[in-house]
Order: sequence, then C-alpha cells, then structure tokens
Amino acid sequence: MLMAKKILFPFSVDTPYYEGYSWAVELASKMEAELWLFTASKDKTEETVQQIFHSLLEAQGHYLQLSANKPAKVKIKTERWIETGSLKNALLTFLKSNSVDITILDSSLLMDKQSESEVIDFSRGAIVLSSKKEMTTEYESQFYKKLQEAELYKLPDNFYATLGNDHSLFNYLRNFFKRATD
Amino acid sequence: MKTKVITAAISDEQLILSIKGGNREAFGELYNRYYKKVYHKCLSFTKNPDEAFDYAQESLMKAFDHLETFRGHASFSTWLYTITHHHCLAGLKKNSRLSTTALNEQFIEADRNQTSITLEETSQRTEQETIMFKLIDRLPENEKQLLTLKYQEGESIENLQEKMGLNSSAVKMRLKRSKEKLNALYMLALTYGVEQVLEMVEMF
Repeated sequence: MLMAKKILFPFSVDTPYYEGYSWAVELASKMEAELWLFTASKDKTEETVQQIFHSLLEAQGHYLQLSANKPAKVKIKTERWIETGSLKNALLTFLKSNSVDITILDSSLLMDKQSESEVIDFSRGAIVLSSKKEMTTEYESQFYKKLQEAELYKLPDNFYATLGNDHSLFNYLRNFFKRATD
Repeated sequence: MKTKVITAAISDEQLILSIKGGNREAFGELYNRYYKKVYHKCLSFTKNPDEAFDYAQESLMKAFDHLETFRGHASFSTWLYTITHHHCLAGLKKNSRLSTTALNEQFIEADRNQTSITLEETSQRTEQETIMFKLIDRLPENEKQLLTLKYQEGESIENLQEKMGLNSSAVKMRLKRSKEKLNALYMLALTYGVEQVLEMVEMF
C-alpha cells in the first residue's frame, strides 16, 4: 500500500495562509508524514529569508494557539524550500523534479483554475482547501469540516485508512450523529 | 463572540495565568512577543538561518507545549531562553559542531557584547546570575574554585594549570564537565525551584 510520507504546502508570506498551514501541519501529524513548506520570492537576500522564517514561526504560533488543548501532538519534521521567481512557475518546476505524495493548495494562494489544474496534474495527490471559514471553535471538528469541504484528487490508498484509525475522527463523527439525532 | 483585546501592558506571568485558564488570545500574545527573539538566539548559535529555524521551531514547541511546567521561579523569558540555549547546544553537540573551544568562544563573545545588552537582557542576566552563583556555591570545592577562577577572575588555562597542578587537557576536561553539570542543574532549578535543586547537588 502506498504510504503518504511527503506533504507539500506552498505558501506566500504576502497572503493570510496561517489557517491552511495549521491544517497542513495537523494532516502531516495524523499521517506521520514530513511537511515540505514551499515558497518563492523575488530574491534570497538575508532580509528576505529572515522575513520568510519569521512568517513561518508566526504561522506555527497560530497552529499552537489553535491546538493548545490538544493532548500529545506528534512532532513532525518540516523542510523549507525557498525558490526565486513566480510562485506558480517555481512550484511546477519543483513538482516535476521532486516526488511529493500530497500537495495542499490553500485558498490564500488565489490560484486561477488553470494554474490549479496544472499543479494537480503534476502532483501525485492533491487537496484543494476551501476558503470557507469554519465557525466551530472545537479543534478536531475544524479539521474534519475543512476536509469535508476540500476538493480531493488522486489521494493515496492509505489516506482514508490512516485517518480512519484516528480516534479524534471517531469523536467528531459521534458528536455529528449526536447533533443529528438531538 | 466577544474577543478580548490583549495589550502589551500585561506581564508575561499574567498572560501565563490567563493561558492556564484557557485564554487562547493570551497564548498568541505571549508567543508573538518572543518567537523572533528565539529565532535570533538560535541564529547566534548556528550562524545558519535554516538550521536556526529548526532549533527555534523546536524550542518554541517545547516551551509553549509545556507551559504548565513553568513554575515562575525565574521570569518567563529566562525560562524560555534557557530552553532555547540548551536545545541549541544539545543539537550542535549531537551534530559534532560544538567543541569545548567553541563553548569557550561563546563565553568570550558574550563578554565582548556586554556593552550592547539592553535593559531587559540585563535584568534577565541578573536573575540568571543569581541562580547560577547559588548553584556554583554548592558545588564541591575544587569544581567551585575552577569555575570561579576561570569565569569570575578571568584566569587563563595556563594559569589554571599552574595553580591546580594539572595539564592543559585535564583543566579543559574538568571545566567542560563542571559546565555541563551546572547547565543541567540550572535547567532543573528553573523547572523545580532553586531550593529543591540545592538539596540535590550532592547527587550529581
């Protein structure tokens, strides 16, 4: 069975990507996969690189804040890829030469449909997140609601099996059915 | 849902109390006060932005995921920077990038940079120094003498060789072991309190 071991999250520091980042971290945590964080900038000066790292640390803070009451977080490994030029072109070049199991496209990227299709074509699997803001404050419910609303493409066989083993999914579904019968 | 506005006027310790009460905005405020400083501390160790990011990410995760272990015996910033400091040292040692010489250079560099230390860092160092000197005072006499001569009196390795009747390697090895022991005690002091650790010093 093909195991999803590398998840790619492209982002731009000029856009509000923290929600998408938090979701990607949570998915990587549940799948015990490596998270590759990909961006492109006009240059790679010390100042630009510093700005990107500051932004990623701030995004991590957002994730930690959202998941503050969640017990036993699985520590995940991240790799950062900082390329120069346009994000879309750099991303396509990257996908052509690197093997990534799932690419997560956050709504903050504001990709047009054609660009989105190209990225999906060059990815082994892809998840396109919806821009809809989740109203629930319960952390695990937020994750599964966002998954429910996402568009899923060519996901590996073990994706559903792995999530199916996650206890928090059971709790989410149990609460869902409880609300439906109340 | 009404969102509480957290102002910069609220102290770190008040924020932590608030966080322990479930206030997520307080968590965000506290994190945002420190993540850049933690990154730059890691950068001063690694001199490599990508590596510094890894250490900063891990240190922040360690600290903010375990805020319940912060007892308040030292300031929050001291606690956080100590976790960062040790995490970087452990990581660099593991990658064999840090030798005893490099450790000494860190101390020398710290002395050189003294004039540029801000008021905030000065008060952190005073608190750090107080805890550190309490621990040093309880060490066995020969270890205490060695550390005091080296770092308080500023004696060179050659002078220490003469005073203690040891060769250069022996002096350096004893210094290394004493520093490692002191670092471990310092971390314990921040977690469990200085007084408790002072009672345990003989065990190390």
